[in-house]
Amino acid sequence: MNTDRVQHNSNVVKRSARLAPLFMVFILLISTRAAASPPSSDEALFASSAPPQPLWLAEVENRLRSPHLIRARFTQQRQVKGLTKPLISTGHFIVARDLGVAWMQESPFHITHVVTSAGMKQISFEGSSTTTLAAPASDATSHLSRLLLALFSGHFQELSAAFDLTAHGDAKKWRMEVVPTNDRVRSFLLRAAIQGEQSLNECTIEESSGDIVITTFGDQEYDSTPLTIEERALFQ
Amino acid sequence: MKRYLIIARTLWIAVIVSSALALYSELADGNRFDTNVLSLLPKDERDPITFELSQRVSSGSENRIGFMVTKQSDGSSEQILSAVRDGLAPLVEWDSSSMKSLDGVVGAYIPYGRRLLLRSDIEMAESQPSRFFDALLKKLYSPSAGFYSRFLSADPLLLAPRFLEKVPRCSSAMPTIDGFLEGSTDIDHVIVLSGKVRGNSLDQRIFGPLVERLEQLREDLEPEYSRLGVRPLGALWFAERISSTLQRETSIIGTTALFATSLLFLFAFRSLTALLLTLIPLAAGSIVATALSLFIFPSLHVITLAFGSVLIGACTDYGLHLLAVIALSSSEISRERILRSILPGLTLGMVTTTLSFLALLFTPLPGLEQLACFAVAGLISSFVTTVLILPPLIPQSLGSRVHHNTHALARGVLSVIRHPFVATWAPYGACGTLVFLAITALTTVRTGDDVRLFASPQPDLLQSEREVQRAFGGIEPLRYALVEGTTQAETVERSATFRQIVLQDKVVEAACDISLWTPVIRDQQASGRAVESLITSRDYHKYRSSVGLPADFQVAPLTSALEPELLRNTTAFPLVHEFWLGKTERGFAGIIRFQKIIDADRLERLAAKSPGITFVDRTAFVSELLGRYRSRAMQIMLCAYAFVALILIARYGVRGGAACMGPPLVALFTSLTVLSLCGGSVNVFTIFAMLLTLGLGVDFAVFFLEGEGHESGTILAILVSSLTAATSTALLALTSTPMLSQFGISVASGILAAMVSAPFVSVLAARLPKIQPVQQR
Repeated sequence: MNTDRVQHNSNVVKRSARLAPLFMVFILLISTRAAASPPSSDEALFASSAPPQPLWLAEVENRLRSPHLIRARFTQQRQVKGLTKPLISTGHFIVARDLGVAWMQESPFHITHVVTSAGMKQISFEGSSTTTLAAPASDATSHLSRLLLALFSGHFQELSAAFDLTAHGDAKKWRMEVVPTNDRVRSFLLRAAIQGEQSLNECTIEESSGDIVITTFGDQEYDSTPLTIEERALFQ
Repeated sequence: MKRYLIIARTLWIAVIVSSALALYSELADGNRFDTNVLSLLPKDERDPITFELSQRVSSGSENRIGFMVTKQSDGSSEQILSAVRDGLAPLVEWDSSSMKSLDGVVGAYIPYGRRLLLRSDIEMAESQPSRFFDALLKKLYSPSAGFYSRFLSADPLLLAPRFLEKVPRCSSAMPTIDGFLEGSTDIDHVIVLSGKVRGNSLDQRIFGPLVERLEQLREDLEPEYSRLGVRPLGALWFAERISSTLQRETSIIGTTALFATSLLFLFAFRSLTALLLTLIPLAAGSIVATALSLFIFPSLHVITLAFGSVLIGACTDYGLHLLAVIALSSSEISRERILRSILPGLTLGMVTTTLSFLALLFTPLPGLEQLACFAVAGLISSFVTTVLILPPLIPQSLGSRVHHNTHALARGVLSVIRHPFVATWAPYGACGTLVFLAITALTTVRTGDDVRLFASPQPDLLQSEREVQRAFGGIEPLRYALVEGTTQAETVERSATFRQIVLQDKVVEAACDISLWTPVIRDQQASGRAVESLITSRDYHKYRSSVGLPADFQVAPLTSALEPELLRNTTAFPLVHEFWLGKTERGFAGIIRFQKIIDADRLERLAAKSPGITFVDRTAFVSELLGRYRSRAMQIMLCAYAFVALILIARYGVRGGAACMGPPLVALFTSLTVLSLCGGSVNVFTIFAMLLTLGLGVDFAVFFLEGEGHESGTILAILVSSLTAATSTALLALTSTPMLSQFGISVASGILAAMVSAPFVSVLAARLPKIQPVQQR
């Protein structure tokens, strides 16, 4: 027990830093799935499990349940406070409903981050090295992973417990603002905004460091082609 | 004469009353009683600085507190721990971390950035600077970029966060988003809430309210608390459990003993008054002893009270002897006359017992001075009360109430010891018995000084602690190495060297020390050179331009060396203080902590060979000290026996004195034999039992030798006294606390042996021609 605090602090240096991107992936999941299927009329279920929200959000929630596999491209622009130019990266990602999320950056260099219910790992293709960034029990990861999985099953309950959600627009052109209610989450994430129409367009995250991360999405595919052996291996 | 007696009686009553009043005010205050069991542990005589340092280390571990729960997928485990955390917040300083505090930690290291490259990074920076910058870019493009980017302005090479990330860890515990720790056992994931109790967690004034608050919380949180099986961690719960077990058991035993002894009294005297009268000297003795001890010492330990009360229980003999002799004497003889006739025996008994208890003063255990003072004060007060207060209170009719069977029993015992066969063979029988018992005792006796004798075993709490060890692979709290040096640099250097040695020798699985957090000076210098070569390389300019670093984002200039004391007033110090003790009389000191010690003996040998390193094994260390003190206490006890024998020889001659020492010696050897047969061992606490049996055994013998003409009364007094004392102490053998149990076994068996052997003293004395004083009287 004596070194717990020591380990606690040193581990958190790595651990907490991953929460913001995890959250972004999580937002991404909501958003891409929101655009995945046509609206449904199953409003009664939504009304019984979520805080008061516009009715169209129930349609979005119902859409989340349909696709098993989402593929899309991204362009991410990180404006770091103080730097004279943004850090821009591009790549693609996979959301596999029962496995997790693989975020594959292609430029300026190849690097992949995989989030599963067991944690998060980084795979560098240049060096062919794999680094497990999160232990299986890391709560920083599993806490959000639990939320991700809750969303896969169409339950907003856990999300509303940790964040304030504000929805604007309608099911065809919508915008959601997410503000954490938990102090610990707020210590690295100030707010996020997601915009979409039939498909997800953009996600903006404002971090407590002052950095602003804008991710735009394109070429979404829903249940188009199954995972390859290599892709499946990413989640192992 | 009668006038002086009245004055003396009045004065003594005034002493008792004023003691009672003083005691009442102290009890109302309540702060003068010490409950910390560890304060009874012996001081290290080898090296006071080492002792002080190890005390500081252990007090840190003792105050740790925690709660563990199996992780649930629905988040209920976090919810229950959060409720516990909030509920106990005023009493516990919980461990926590936030981005803000982490920023502070990194910020404290940033000024020393140039000194923080580790050896592997130094090589990379000097031979392949491009690889160094590639790694840096990956951080800025990684999902963790938000964490690193905040330090770019002051630390564009991210030297401080890079250093902190790479510090090796002794534990695999992972912090959770809610501030808990999470790890995996073989079976499941567990979550732990950990913190530090505000104050000494082993002090009942601290753990009492905490336990009370937790019980209340538990009630509020039911049924979830039980369903999830929240398990407490830390020394506090052991202390609380041991304390409550002890209280419960002593309460049951006390009640049972009171009931049993009352029955025995009623059987012997058929009078409740007799019982109450016997308790008067005991009560007076306890009151005066407690008040006097509180007057002399700043605080009185509850264990002193408990053991002291048992020791002064011996003084019930005096009142009982007086009562029994009066009860079985002719009613025509006045009580004062009877008192005068048995007074020499009572006085000699008191003197010898007092001397044996005074021997406790020479044992170096803290608290034993108190015990000696308490016991001697109690004994003398009881004696004075018996002599001054008791006689006029004893009713004349007491003798008439004694059942004829009691007379018959006393006469029966007398007829046995006066039987010609017994008179002829008693000396041989006594010698044979003594030799047999001595041989049996000396061949079966064994010593055991494990400090865990203090506590009853708590398997469930131990199991929880083991689970945490398995889940987090944590460091060993009670075995570590102290490292000392004349300067900070020397201390850190010695620490680093020894850590390397033990890791290379594979005597431990992992080791953490201060050199991980403040590298040794030569590494810091090498780091400074490597950083200089990095920032003068072409890759550095390429890196700056690729990420758009403005001109004012510069690496901090080289500072003076990073030393532990420089971190003391920073937010990074909590990381360091587990490994750094700071300034001492000899210089500076740190701690090397180990994870899973593979070969403790070799580790100790390596430490002995390394300058400035002391291996500390708290459990073995305290047990070893207890062993040394047991050995010394045994010597003192033997001296006490010899001294008492000399007094008896002075009074009764060599043969008479030898006869008189029979009962205590029989008691000693019997209690040693019985203790061994019951699986117990001799330790410093059983030595108390031997001293008590010495006191009682000598009392019995002296009462017989001095009680000519009152043999029946003496036999009755000894029977009732020894049976009541043996019943009370035998019940102690049933406690789950090994120390008390072994104490009970020793005392009960010793008293019974003394009781059986005491009547033969007069027979032996009668056959010994030199015991003229007794014969003549």
